[in-house]
Amino acid sequence: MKADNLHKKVRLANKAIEKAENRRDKGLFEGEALAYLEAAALYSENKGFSEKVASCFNNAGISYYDAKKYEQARKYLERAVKMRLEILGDKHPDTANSLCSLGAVYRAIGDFDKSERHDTQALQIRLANPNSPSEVVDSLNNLGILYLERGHVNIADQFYQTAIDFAKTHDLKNENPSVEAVLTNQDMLLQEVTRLKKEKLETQAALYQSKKLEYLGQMATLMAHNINQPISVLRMAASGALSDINDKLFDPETELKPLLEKMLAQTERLSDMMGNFRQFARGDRTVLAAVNLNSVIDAIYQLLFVAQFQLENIELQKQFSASPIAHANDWALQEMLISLLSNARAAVKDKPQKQVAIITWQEAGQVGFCIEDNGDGVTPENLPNLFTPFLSSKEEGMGLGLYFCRQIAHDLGGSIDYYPAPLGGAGFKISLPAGEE
Amino acid sequence: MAHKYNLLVIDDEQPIMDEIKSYFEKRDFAVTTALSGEEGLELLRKQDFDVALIDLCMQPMSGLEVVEKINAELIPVSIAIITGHGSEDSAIAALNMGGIVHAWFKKGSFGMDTLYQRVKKLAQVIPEDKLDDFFSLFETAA
Repeated sequence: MKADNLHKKVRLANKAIEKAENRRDKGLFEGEALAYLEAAALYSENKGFSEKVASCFNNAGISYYDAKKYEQARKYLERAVKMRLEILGDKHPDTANSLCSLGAVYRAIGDFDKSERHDTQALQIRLANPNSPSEVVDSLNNLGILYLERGHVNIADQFYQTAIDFAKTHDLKNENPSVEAVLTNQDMLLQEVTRLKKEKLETQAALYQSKKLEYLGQMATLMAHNINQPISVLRMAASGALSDINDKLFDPETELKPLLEKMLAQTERLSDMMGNFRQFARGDRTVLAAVNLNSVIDAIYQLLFVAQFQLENIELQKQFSASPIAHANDWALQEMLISLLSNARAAVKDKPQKQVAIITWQEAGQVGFCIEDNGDGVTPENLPNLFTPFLSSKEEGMGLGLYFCRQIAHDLGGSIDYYPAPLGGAGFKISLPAGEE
Repeated sequence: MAHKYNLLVIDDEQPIMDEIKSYFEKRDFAVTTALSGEEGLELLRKQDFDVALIDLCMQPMSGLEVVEKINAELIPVSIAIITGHGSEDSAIAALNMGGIVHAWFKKGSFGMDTLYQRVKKLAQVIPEDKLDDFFSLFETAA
């Protein structure tokens, strides 16, 4: 009677497994899992069937995984792993299979450390077993996927490549499902890398563009001043000559030539300015050469700031070292100077005595310059974000000035640092590699 | 010899000053030039001028300071100011100084004839057209 009963239970369990397989064919994974659990319960009535029980738990776990019920999947696969380790030991391929499935579950729930531990254990078992080369490929593939999800593209690629090499040395064909899966993954990885590279280039290009626009915008504002001077001379000369002609006060014999020469000189002044502007906009920032800091500073100050500083009554203090030669780039330095001098100008705006200082210096192997002002300086809470993009305390501008300054300084192999200036406001020290005269 | 009005131009830009000088001197003005605020102020203290044409944007003494000194020292002269790009604020300050500034020109945006006509009006204590009106009263009365 007892034996019959047992026989019946095993028969029912076998039926439950049949049911499970049916449900899988129909895609009913949760139902499949329940059927396997039913089979597990029926098998567990007899001790001799514990291996079957473990297999049912394993399959139920996989069904739950396919149904995306990861918590249940984890629970039953943990149980299967534990049972298989006890019954089959830690070298059996079935143990490896359960470990591998459990690794996949942990990967799905984002516990990458546990996932890696299980995958690695499965891989070790499979490597020791000469009969399961395609399972080795699976394990390597899983580790590849894991590292990709962790964001380590290079390591992921190494796992995929190892899997492919392993398949070759073990005569696995490309049509083998495991090999096919790895090949697909590696291909996708390649596409992803290409996409990321492109995206990075696009971001860099966009940032470069906004940097250029920021400087051109600042420069255009500053230039408006200078352009106005020759324009007003031209206008006065032309309108004056015109009414002289109307009033019969114009003597072409003696006055026409000087007038035209005068007007020509003003247009030359204008075209020089435009030339400078164009050079600045297009100048190659990548070539490094010997640059005299004093000359660059004088040039950019004369070109863009002298009128502004005069107009706003800002006193400029220059302390130049004898001949500070940097190994740098003219245009890049001009960009930094435009940013720093504009900042200094804005910082002293509301001070009764406005002061800005430019200092150049040189020491062994290094040269540089400092820009100081007597504004309010940088508050301690703003200090950590000083060089962060899009954080500006000024009303105007995008907040990219100091960020770009630091980037430029780094590109030139130098650095930029803030210090509280002796004048009372902000001070910026730019250090650059020394060049040869 | 016809009467000449006395104009003082204070501007630190030589080319602009040259233009004004040659245009006005072809007509009925004697033009004196000063390249700085200090120099201009010295001239104003020593000589009589009908009009002072002052550029507000100069260093070290700004045009606004020159106007303030003229106001404080009660120097009798009509004042016209010139400003460049971006110095609207000091122009407003000068114009608000109690009516001693009579005209404001923006660099690059006026023709010579406009400047001349306006400055000449300031130079005439009683402008010519007003003088004609004045005399015409007598003519009808007679």
